[in-house]
This record gives sequence, C-alpha cells and structure tokens, in this order.
Amino acid sequence: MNGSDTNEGARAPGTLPAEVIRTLAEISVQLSQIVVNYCAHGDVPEAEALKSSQEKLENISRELKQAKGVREVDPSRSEQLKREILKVLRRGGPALFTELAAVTLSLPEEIRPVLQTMEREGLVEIRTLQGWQQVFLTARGRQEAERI
Amino acid sequence: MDMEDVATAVGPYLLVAALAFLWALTEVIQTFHSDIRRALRSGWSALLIGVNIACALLVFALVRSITPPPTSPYLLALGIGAGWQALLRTRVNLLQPLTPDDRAVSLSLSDLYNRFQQFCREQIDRSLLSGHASLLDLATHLPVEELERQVRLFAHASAIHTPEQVDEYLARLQTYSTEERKLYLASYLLRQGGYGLLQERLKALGRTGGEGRC
Repeated sequence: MNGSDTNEGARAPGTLPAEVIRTLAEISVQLSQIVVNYCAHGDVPEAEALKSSQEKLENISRELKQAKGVREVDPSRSEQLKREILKVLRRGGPALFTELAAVTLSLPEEIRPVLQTMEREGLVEIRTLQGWQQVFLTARGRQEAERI
Repeated sequence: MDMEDVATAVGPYLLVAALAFLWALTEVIQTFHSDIRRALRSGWSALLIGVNIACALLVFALVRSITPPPTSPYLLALGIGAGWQALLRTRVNLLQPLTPDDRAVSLSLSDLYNRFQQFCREQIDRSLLSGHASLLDLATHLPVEELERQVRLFAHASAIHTPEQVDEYLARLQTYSTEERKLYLASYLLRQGGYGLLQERLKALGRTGGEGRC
C-alpha cells in the first residue's frame, strides 16, 4: 500500500494518461469560450479572473502534452481537415461527429480540436441530441465553404 | 352548373397549386440532394410544401378579387403560380421617414417566410440525422471484419480514397475498441455511400446470417 502511495505521489507529469491531458485541454477551451461570452456582455470583473485561470490551465496542458509527448495536430493537417469538413458539410448537409471523423479518415482526437476551433470561429455549430454529437454548418461556414 | 363550369372555376386554382407544389418540391430536392427520398418522407417537407401551396392559393385569390376579371384566368394562374415568391420577396415600406438617417418601418413577408423555411430545414436535418444515428446503432451489431471488408470494397469501387489511405486508416483504428471501430467503419459507409447503401448492406448481411455472427 505504501508502495502504491509512493508511486502515486511520485507520479511525474509525463506519466499522466493522454485522456487526462486532453480533458484538461478541453476544459481550457471551454473556459476560453466562457470568457468570450462574458466579454460580450461588457466589462465583467469575473472575466479577467477566468481568463487568467484559463491561461494557466492552457500552459499546464501544453507542458503536460510536451512531457507526455502527445502529438499536437500539425497546423497544415489541421487546415486541411478544416477544408475537408467544410466541403463535406456543404455537399452532404449536417453530419454526426463520427461520420465527419470517418469521412476525413481522421481519428476522433485529431478532428475534435479542429471542430472546436471551427465552432469558436463561428463556422460550425455542434449540438448534442440523444448522446450523438451533430455538426451543422453556420451561415458564415457556408460562405467559407463556397470560397473553397 | 355542369362539369365545364366546375373545371373553369377550379382549373386555375389547380394550376396555381401544381406550380407552387413544383416550386417547393424543387427547394426540398435542391437542399437535401444527398438524401432526397428520406427528406421528402419527413412530415416537415409536407408542411413546407403545404404552406407554399396555401400561400400561392391565397395570393391568387387575393389578386383575383381585387383586379378586374382577367381575359384568361389560366394566364393569371400561371403568373401567380410561377411568380408568387417574387411577390413575397418584395419589401413593403409602411412608413418612410422624412429624415434620411431614420429607418423605414417595413413589412417584410420575405423575412417571415425565410424563418419558416429555415425552421423546416432544421427539423428535416434533425430527422435525417436521427435516422443516421439509428442506422449506425444497428450497424454496430455487424462483425467488425465484415464492416472492414465493406469499407475496403467501397473505397476500391468509389475511388474517393486510395486503397492505401483506407488501409492506413483501418490500421490506425486498431488502437480503438471493437465497438468504436464498428461505429467509425459504419459511419464511413453511411456518409460516403449514403443511407440507402448502408441499409442495403445491413439487409443483405442479415439475409446471409451476418447478424448471427455478431
């Protein structure tokens, strides 16, 4: 038991499961979204505190990723995925998250951050219905897709 | 009143209704070209088409009641049936302020209609995606090897992705659980081949005992 405790206590950041690191990154993204929403309602004092927490969390998440060796999605791949997603949604209408991942031949952890970025940019809207994530193209996303 | 009188009275209305039906049908087909059959089966499509027909008939009746009797009611019906949406898109300014900076108070039927169209489209989208989710749920009862084989076959036949790309993707999916792999493989078939293709495959595999091997 002591050994186990010792092991837990001595656990280096690099030994954290990739899932935990991803979750931290997702929380950071969600916090960032809350900050944006707060700021949209004018000067809210809580927004500053939230922003500071979100930045700290983002730094921790980045350091953990580096220590763990979690591969960040290559920016050019990410851009390519974004174009593919826009094309797929424009051609075939809204899609389930799994459909988008499969049709772009990407893994969920590759496509999720791209979709979250696209949602923040107002290109897509992600809704959850009966446990299934559905991705819809917004008016802005449609304009962007037509330019591709 | 003989049959000819009835035909003369009802004929123009039927023409307007037919044109409005065609117009709305084209809208649905254009918007949901990837899954037309299921989109048309949705009750929301019927509502969209029905409202289109009702609006066109209303416009026709209004025009007929406020204008002198036309020489050819069919010509008027043709004009209204084909062009009533143009009338709808016309913005009617109720009040135009004297100062140029103030905005006119306008009545835009077009905005109302666009919102209704948008609402119907969203409901049809939801209904289609709900169908996708149910079909994927069924497809995960198939053996993963069979789904892999179907994905490979489809990729070879369609040339959307090269066989190497698909093989590489299948290899990368190996790190996932069998259930997750099935879900992504079925999703590939559903999106690339369409609802009909996956449904057909499910039926065919069901007939040959595919479900028994799950």
